[in-house]
Amino acid sequence: MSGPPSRHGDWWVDNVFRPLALAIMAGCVAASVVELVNVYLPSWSGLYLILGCVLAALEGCYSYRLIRAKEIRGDDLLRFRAIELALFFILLKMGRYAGARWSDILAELRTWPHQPLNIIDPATAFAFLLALACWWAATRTLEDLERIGEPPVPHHSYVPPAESIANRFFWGGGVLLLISGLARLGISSLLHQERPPVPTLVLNVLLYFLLGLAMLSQVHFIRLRHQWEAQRIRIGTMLAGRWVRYSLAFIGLATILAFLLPTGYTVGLLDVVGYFLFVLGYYLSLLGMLFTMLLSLLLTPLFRLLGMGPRPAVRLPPLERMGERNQGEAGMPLAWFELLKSLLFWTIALGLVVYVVRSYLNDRPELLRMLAALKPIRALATFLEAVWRRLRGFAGATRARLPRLFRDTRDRAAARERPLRLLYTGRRTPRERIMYYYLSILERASRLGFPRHRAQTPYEYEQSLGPHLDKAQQDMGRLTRVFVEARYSTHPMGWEEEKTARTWWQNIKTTLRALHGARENTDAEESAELPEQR
Amino acid sequence: MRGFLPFLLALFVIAAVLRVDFFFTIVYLLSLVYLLSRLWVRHSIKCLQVQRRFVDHAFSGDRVSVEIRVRNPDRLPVPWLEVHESLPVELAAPPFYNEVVSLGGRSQHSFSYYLNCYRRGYYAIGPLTLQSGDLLGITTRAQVEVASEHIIVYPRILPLQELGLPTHSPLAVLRARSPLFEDPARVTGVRDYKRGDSMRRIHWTATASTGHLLVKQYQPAIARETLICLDLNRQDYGQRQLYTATELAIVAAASLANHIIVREGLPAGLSTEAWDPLLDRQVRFSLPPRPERSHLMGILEVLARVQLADAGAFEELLRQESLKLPWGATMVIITGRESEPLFDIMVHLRRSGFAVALLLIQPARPSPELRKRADLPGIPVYRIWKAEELDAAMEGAQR
Repeated sequence: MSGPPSRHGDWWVDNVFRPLALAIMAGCVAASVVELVNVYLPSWSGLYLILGCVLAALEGCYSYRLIRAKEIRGDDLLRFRAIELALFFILLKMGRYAGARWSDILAELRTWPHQPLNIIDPATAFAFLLALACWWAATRTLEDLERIGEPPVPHHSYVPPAESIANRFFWGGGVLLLISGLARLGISSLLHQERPPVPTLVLNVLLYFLLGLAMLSQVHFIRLRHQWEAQRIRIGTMLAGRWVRYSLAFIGLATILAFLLPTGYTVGLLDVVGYFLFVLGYYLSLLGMLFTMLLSLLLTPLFRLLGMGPRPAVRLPPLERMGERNQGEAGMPLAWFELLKSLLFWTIALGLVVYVVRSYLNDRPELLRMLAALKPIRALATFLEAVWRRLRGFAGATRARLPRLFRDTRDRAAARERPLRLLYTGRRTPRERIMYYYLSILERASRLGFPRHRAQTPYEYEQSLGPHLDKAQQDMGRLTRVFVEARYSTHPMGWEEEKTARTWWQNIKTTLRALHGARENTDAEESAELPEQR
Repeated sequence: MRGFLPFLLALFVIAAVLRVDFFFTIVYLLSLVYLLSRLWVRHSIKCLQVQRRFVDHAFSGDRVSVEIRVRNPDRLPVPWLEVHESLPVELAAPPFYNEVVSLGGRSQHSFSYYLNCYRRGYYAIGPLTLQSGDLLGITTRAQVEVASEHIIVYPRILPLQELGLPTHSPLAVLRARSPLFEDPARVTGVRDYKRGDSMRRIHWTATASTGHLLVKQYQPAIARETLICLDLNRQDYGQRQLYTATELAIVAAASLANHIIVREGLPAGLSTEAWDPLLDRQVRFSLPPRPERSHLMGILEVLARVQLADAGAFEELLRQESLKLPWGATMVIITGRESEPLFDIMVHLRRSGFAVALLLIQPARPSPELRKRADLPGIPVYRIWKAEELDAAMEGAQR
């Protein structure tokens, strides 16, 4: 309370706007309280209470100024405060009697000498306490406003005045929202989660928040101005005026935008998430069933061969139809539009909140560090990191395996086609013929028990096959070289080379035939496959 | 505002539990206030254009006006903008300029302040810091920095008599205004063309054969070139008057260069080894003698920014510089200390055909031996003590 009175601000802002704004905000809270009381006592008229709270806040502001101006201290201050409180009480008592009949009032007054406790009836006591709270909040706010700019007190419990005002506004707002909500729903329906949403505009809540934001803007301006003055920074002449204009325009714009965003939803967040999980699960189980069915079809002949008789038909788990799950309370299918609307609402609402949280934490790395150091959060982060690593590994492995899988499938299909190709050589070019000779040898050697392994290069294969070929070992080496040339070179290959390769091929073939004399008949067929000479 | 986030989350929970549609509007309102504030501040400060206008060369005693123009080309206004310009303590008191303004959309604001250039030097003006924030104090402030620029304040130039030097060319032997330096009948060779060389000197045949400009070198009748050799070695000045003596030495060098080039129309150069704040290292400056005024400005620029250094032996510098000078040239040596090696090199230079003059700046009392040595035949020695001008300049700067 040692700070100097506000000497910089505009007279209107100091003497009219601030007290009035505080008084109206107090009135907004009181209006919600009256609404809540009216839910249980509908006959009670709480208008006097709202007026009482407004007046209490106003009185709090001006009496604070008066005390500061007149420098009232000690016993005088106590006397002053006592008179103030007595006046509040009398005014509220008078307000309670407003609209009542004179005879009733006089009858109650007559009871006072015999029963003094009748003076403090519950309604007046409640109104007095509420008015007192409003008066206290207004006085403290004004006090904090004047304390802005004072050097901070080095104490752990010290809260800067601007922070204190903001906290008061936040607390008031939270309480106001809670009371207003309860006044509209009733406490009994609070636990009933299936109740429909309440689509009403709550004017006093809106007014409270708009005035509160305007107050916060003023508080911020005062704080900055004190800082600038302490640093002897020149302040532009138009700054104060523009601050007010820009603040009002900014709050107005944010309000308009807020009203444009969707607020109503028919499907709760968990329901929306649950619905999408259900759809996902449905299709996954469908796929699983199809797979099981195909597998059983393939395995049936095997079971029969093994002498296992036909099993009783597998009873597949019943699949709930999509439509059955997707029904509202009345048994009607849930409209996709409602679902979409709810999804839009949740996306916007959660998106906004998540963005605010994220940027708030980004702006305050110390807070982020503090949160990250908490044990449960650290454990969660470790778990999520591990899951993420697993997922990445799985995706990488799939990415690497899929092309190989496709290639293998293609190779197998090509291998199936190969015997057909070996039978037909008539229209082949010299290059293709050379390749054919080599592949033919590969095929024959494979049949005779010398298959080429997948990892073997032609030269490696030649090294492994060569020792079994006796005289034709050199021819195999030559054929391998000319095959490699035909397979990987780009220059044209002539019929001369083809002819030489054919000779080698025949020699090797003869050797292979000699190795396995039992296959004389096959040799005759092979000779029939010989391509026509040019 | 630390309570903002918990409050917003609490409101969101209350709205979700109570399912009052309007409460979500309040949640939106507060979220949007935060979100828009953040976007507004970051966007508006990025758009700002800043221009700093001032004359970046000044003479000692000048008052330089600096104008900063901050322009907001965007439609969105900047609610508040704190401008902080850091200034050199030698030029401004307090050493900063601060102002807070509000910039409307597509508008600009100009600030101006003055720099009192009492001390020579190379000074950084800035950096300029622009800071802005939101109207409610719920987001962190945004800040941009505009790079600093530099101003050169030339050293004071005093009349030679104020320095206690003779008014005629104190150093050169001949005093004719346009003397015949070289004999054009006796060509000794060619050299590369340098700016300021007369067209008549170009050796066209040699130029044509080599492909680049060459000029004839004549046998000198007598050189009128003057090289000012300034000693800025910390050890060569007394510790007590280190600052004043070096400043006086620099003033003497600047005044001499000005006198020779402007008054006498003769070529003058400068050679010194000093700390250069521009390059942030020790540099040997070697500006060969030339008669143009632009060359004088070059000399003054060097003299404006050089600072004391722990350089090597000054005598070595003299020896190396003498190799580049023509026979008969004048070397003016400015230092703060007499010593045997210095006298040795001076005698050597004199015998090599150079005119040598010594300017001793606030020297310490020499030993009797040195005093005897100082009376060198044909070498004028001047002792400069006058620090009044500099003192006055200091006082002016402090004011």
